[in-house]
Amino acid sequence: MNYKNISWFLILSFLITFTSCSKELQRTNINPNNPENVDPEYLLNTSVYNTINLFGGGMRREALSHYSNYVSVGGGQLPRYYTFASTVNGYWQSAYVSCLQPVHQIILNYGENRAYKNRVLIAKIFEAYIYSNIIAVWGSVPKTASLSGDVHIPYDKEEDVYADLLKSLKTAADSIDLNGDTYIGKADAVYGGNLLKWKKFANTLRLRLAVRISNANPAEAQKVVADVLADEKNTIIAQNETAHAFWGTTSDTWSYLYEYNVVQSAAHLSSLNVISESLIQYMLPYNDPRLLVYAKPASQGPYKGRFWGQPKTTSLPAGVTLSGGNPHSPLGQLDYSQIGDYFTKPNEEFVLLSYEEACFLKAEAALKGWGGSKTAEQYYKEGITASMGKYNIPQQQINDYLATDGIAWNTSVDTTGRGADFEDYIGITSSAILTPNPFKQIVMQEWLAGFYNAMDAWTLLRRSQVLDFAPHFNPDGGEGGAVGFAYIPQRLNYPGIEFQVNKQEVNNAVQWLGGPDALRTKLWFALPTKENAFLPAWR
Amino acid sequence: MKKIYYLILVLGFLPNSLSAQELKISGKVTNAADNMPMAGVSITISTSSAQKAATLTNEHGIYSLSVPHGTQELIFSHIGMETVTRKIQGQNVINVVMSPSSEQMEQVVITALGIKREVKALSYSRQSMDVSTMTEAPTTNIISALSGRIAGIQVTPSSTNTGSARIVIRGNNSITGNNQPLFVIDGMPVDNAGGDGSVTTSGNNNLDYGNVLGSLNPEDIQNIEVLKGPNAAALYGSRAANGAILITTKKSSGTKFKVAFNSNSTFQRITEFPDYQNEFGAGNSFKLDGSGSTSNPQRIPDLSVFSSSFGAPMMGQPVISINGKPKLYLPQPDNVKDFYQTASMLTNSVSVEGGNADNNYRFSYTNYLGGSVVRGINKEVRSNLNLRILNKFNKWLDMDSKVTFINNKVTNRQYMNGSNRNPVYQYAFMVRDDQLSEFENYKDEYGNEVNTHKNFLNPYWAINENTNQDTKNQLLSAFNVNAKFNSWLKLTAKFGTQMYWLNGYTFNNRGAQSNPNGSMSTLNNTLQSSNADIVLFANNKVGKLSVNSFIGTGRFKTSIAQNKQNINSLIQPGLKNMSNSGEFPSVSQFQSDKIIYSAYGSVSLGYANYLFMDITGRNDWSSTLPENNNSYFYPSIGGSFVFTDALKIPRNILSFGKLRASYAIVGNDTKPYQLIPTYSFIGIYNNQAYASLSSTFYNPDLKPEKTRSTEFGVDLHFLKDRLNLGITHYRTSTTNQIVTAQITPTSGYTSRYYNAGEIQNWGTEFTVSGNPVKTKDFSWNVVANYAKNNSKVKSLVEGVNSFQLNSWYGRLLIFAEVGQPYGVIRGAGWKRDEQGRKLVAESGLPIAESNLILGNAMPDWTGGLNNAFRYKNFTVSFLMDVRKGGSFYSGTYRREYLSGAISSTMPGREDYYLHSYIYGEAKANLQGGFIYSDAYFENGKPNNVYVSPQSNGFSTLDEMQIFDASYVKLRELVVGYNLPGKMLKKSVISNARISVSGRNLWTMFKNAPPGIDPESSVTSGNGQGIEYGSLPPFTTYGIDIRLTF
Repeated sequence: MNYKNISWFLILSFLITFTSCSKELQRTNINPNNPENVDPEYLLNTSVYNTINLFGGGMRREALSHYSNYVSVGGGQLPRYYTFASTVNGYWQSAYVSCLQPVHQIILNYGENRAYKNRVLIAKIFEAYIYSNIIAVWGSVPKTASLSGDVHIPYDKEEDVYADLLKSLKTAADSIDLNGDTYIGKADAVYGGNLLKWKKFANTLRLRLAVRISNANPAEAQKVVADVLADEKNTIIAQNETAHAFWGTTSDTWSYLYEYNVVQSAAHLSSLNVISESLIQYMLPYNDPRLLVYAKPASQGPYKGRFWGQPKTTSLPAGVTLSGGNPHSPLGQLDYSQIGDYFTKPNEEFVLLSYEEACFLKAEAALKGWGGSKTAEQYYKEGITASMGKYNIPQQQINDYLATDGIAWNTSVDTTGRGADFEDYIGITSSAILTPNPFKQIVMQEWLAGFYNAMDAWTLLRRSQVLDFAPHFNPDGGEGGAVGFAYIPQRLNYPGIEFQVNKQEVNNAVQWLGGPDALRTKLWFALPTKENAFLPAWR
Repeated sequence: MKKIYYLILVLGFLPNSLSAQELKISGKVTNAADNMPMAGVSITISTSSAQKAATLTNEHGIYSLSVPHGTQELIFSHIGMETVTRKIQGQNVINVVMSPSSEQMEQVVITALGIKREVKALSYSRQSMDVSTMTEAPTTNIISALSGRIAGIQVTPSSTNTGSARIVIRGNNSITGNNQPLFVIDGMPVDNAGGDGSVTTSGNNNLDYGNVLGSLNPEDIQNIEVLKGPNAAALYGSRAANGAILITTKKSSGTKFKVAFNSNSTFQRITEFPDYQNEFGAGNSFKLDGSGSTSNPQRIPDLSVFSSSFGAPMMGQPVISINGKPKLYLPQPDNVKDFYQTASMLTNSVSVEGGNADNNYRFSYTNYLGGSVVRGINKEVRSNLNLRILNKFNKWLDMDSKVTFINNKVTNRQYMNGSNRNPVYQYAFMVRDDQLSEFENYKDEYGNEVNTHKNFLNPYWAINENTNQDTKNQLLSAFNVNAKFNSWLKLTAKFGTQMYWLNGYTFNNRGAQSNPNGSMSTLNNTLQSSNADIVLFANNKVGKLSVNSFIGTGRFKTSIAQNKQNINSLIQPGLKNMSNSGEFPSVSQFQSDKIIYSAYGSVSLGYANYLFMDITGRNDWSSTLPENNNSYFYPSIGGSFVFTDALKIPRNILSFGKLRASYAIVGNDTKPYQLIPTYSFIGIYNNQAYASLSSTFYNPDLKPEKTRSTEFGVDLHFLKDRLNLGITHYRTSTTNQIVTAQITPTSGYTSRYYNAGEIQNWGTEFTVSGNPVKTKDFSWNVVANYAKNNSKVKSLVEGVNSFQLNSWYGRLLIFAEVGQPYGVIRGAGWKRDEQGRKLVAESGLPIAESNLILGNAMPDWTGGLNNAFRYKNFTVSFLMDVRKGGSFYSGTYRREYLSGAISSTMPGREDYYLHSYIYGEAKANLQGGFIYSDAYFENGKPNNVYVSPQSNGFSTLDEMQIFDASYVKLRELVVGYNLPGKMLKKSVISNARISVSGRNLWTMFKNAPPGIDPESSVTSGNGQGIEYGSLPPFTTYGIDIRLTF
């Protein structure tokens, strides 16, 4: 071999290699593991499942179920009203990336495709549902420019998002073609592909949002309510139309509460969700038969065999001493009433919007004279009956309950001799309806009917501010200020990640808040915190 | 040997130097180690004014030459041998015995692509590592052995004996990409990715499977060469953008049949524990409340409900222990200490070599048994087989083949960081009255975990019931075929493969408190990569001009396959089988391929052996980039000037002086499949599969990233090379980075690919080496190095100010942040007034200000000092390793403090107890307790409010958990003794050596709290600066025996 031959050999092999290699390079970079597109049949449930995991998962256990006064645990960040950046970042990321993105992909990729018309509309309805929860947690959030992959996403004002949602829900509800395409049954975990039910859900969601903003923008609220109730047959009017989804029976789809409170109860002994004192306070003195479903009598400790709820904290407010000592001081989570089995099943139900809530929303509308085919009282009774019927409470017990003082429409309760039954253990709040107050009755019943459906209950309490709850006497992170106690949070703070990578935009949103980016700052839709008359003025 | 001949020929054999022939000298050169003749020893003629290379010894070690008048000395030099200088003094026969040298004396080194170059011709800085003590004082991961020895490297040792270590040369250039150098073993680049990629700070349930280098056998290593910057590594392409570490394994040293045996035993012991307090035991708020449950009507305190040591003073009160039995409430000062054992690591190896000059072989087998200071954890069995064969088929064709096979089995890898399966983490904050015996019975009759403090799980359950095992088989091969066409033209074909197969399972038995149903998973990972290169070398000289050039082309392919099966519910406790599942298993499969084609070339010109210039160029085509951006070219240029030769400077003081400069650009590609977004099916819900879109926003227009590097340096040798000094200054800038930056989740994605950002690194490195004493019986060799690297993040993605590299629960964050050095640590710190005084609220608790810069994870400078002494047959060497500056966050310290376990939680405790519970003072007007006495209220008045030591706001200030990471460590000490030849003469043993060693014997200086090692890190990735759940500092002692037959 000589030099010449070698160089020819080299040049030749070079040429051969490089003509074939360009194609090989392209071929090599085709992802063999993941598809570039999938059908909507595989995406709707992704949003549904991630959504019930977000609003029915860690956020519900730690924050929502406390802020709605259903349950209590002593410690932890959100129960003590402070936040770890990673926790709120996680909720935020889950909301946009895990919950909204899959339905958004359906809208983006199939929006122009006539063959997918209804499936895209359903995706839009579900997207609106997710947003309606997100704005209830944070207020102003990105919507119009979100999910684009852009680096900076501007925020939309809370009120604008409501307007936008109300508009797009109406369009979607009106556009559903009941004879058109739909999802196969199992690909739609909410309604199994039933188009009419989706239409009803969209309309009832409009009702919910309109009633929610009825303090902030009464004119718009009234307009929407009237519009929805003008076509009342297309709202949720029966229990089997409740919008809900269920977790599964395999360990990868178990409900969060089952996993946390039951499977891992031993490891989570000090942070189990147990029934709050407030819930017992509002149920026991009125002989509410649902208490047996919601709560189990305490199985150990000094109050064994009795319904015993945990107060927000066992700390006493400044200046208060109890004569018999603090009955809660040595107790642990197992000494209190546990959550009823109905709510701790592996395949628990997650309620998006229930029939009974629809009834109470209509009762409220009727009370205001905004529409509806029945009277406020009729809707009120229908709602209580629906709620009890759901848990198979016998009709006689329902009737008895409906006849109870304070529960019967426009009545009050006589607390003579048993005032303490209605009070918390310190004696600074009472569940007694002392003067007839139909609005308070509707709110109380909506709150009781929505047990453990904490996202909506928290929103209800913030917009109504009519029920009495003891504040938190051991809050953390400055929420208590100089007085050392705090009422239930009005929102969650914006996540730390936004201040890192979307700073300009989130700072605009903070400006709109009209207060610090803190848990106590009121959102646009809500009413100012109702303060407790026994305690010093807050802030 | 022929190659050296060429080099010598090219570099300095000048005809006019032989003009005045006066004296003929001849002789024989032999090797002191085996008395065998040495071929290819270069002989240089030294006159008072200059040195000229003259000749080489032949295959029988014989040389002869004529020296001109005035020649005073002959200098004999050879790779790896101590240079010998002999005065001529009229002798005709000069026989020389050469002995192995330390690295400074080498003249010829291996550079990129395995090309041997004379040091003086190199335009960039490189450093070789003294591997002599690496086998006598072995580390469990070779990377750790480099610490302190090479200027400009920063090592993060592996957190366990089986874990992954990190090494970075000259700082971090990339935000999300790899910052570690390329490892090249016998010419073949190997994948050395950390095996802890999926382990998070919070300690999820993933394991650290170690990196490839971790299981390499130090016994087989002949040489480690560190090429520091892109300038040195331009020819390896993208993968060497962060420098390259070239490892050469041993080959047969001669022609004689030799058997060598080595036995090494080392022992590890924890040498420093946290400073535990022994006054307050389990409890809360200084109380030992008894539960009023019906089963405990006497209300005897039940310790199982408490997991921190904030109870009452321990005075022998009767309590119920976690195991349900009554005990006395008394301190157990040694409860943590007693948990640890002495670990042993045993290495036995045998090597056989032989053959003749043309065909020879070396085969070695090494067996390693490793353990851990935690009983039952990280049991490792490893076998290494290494075969190296050299064949010279005929005058023009030879082949060098190497095959390494490693079988590595690890039982019970330790779960890391804050994992509740990590017993080290669990033990760090053990309640002060716990006795180990209370935990020992960790399982009840039904197989459920018992004897816990509820949230504090039983560490013995963690060790015994969360078992795992994996076997890693690795094959590394390299084949080099050289064809020499004539005296100046040579063709080399190189082919090499790296393969590994990892099979393992992790098992979590039924009954754990945190995972009652148990779980199990199996994994099968394979990696196969191959490199094929053809290079044509042409070396020639015309007059005073010498030319070394080559062109080559190569193909690199790597394929990864990862299969994982998972079950979430076990039926039968203890049965480690995937069929033992109450549900359908979930499976995942991942496959990825990547190909890079390359063409490259280089021209090196030398003039009169004192002026050199190198030009290289390389073009890569990568499969991971889009079609129109997938080709990228990068050049380098460098020059060096040996001014002592050029200016004929008298060599009695300055014996050698060189200036060098170089400039290089290196491109880089990315991972496969980063261009188009895809979906993945994640599970089944409502009987229907559901899919999700990738949470990374992909970029179909990615461009290759670019690193530009400039370096200048000077090398000076004084007093006949007795004192050598090297100084290098470099500046590197990486632009167009392929970054996955976090973006707002409201975009629908968590991160996005960009070509953006610029990171600059610049710094200076010094190495000083010398032989202050050098006599026949006694020598002293000292090497010192110092390196200071500065970095600055110039820009990131437009509008993005920072990129998160790591975090501790989202509250303590490590950033690459514009305008700051790489690795900024941010978190909540003290709010201070204008005078810098700490502020407290009216409650007396600190006011926290979030997102303050609390430090930087990168050191100010690093250095090392190695001293080696030889007295007759004794050798002593010790290495000191220094790191100055940089900070780290200690999550372990936070936990120890919040659990009240350590003595720093003592201030104010007794006082608080007295005032609060004995005097019964109310919270609002406490007259004693814990106080931040150096703090002020916002109105400027000094703080006078006492608070509870248990809730003193420590947890709200990350600043209180930040520590200086500086240290000075006596890294290594080796004392050895070579048995004298006389003693061995009658035996079959030709060489015998015994040595004792110690590693990390003494931390001479550190600022971190007791029991916390400032070198610890939660990851071998880019996000350094966080420690969590790491082992306390430990020392390794060893004894080493080596025999050659």
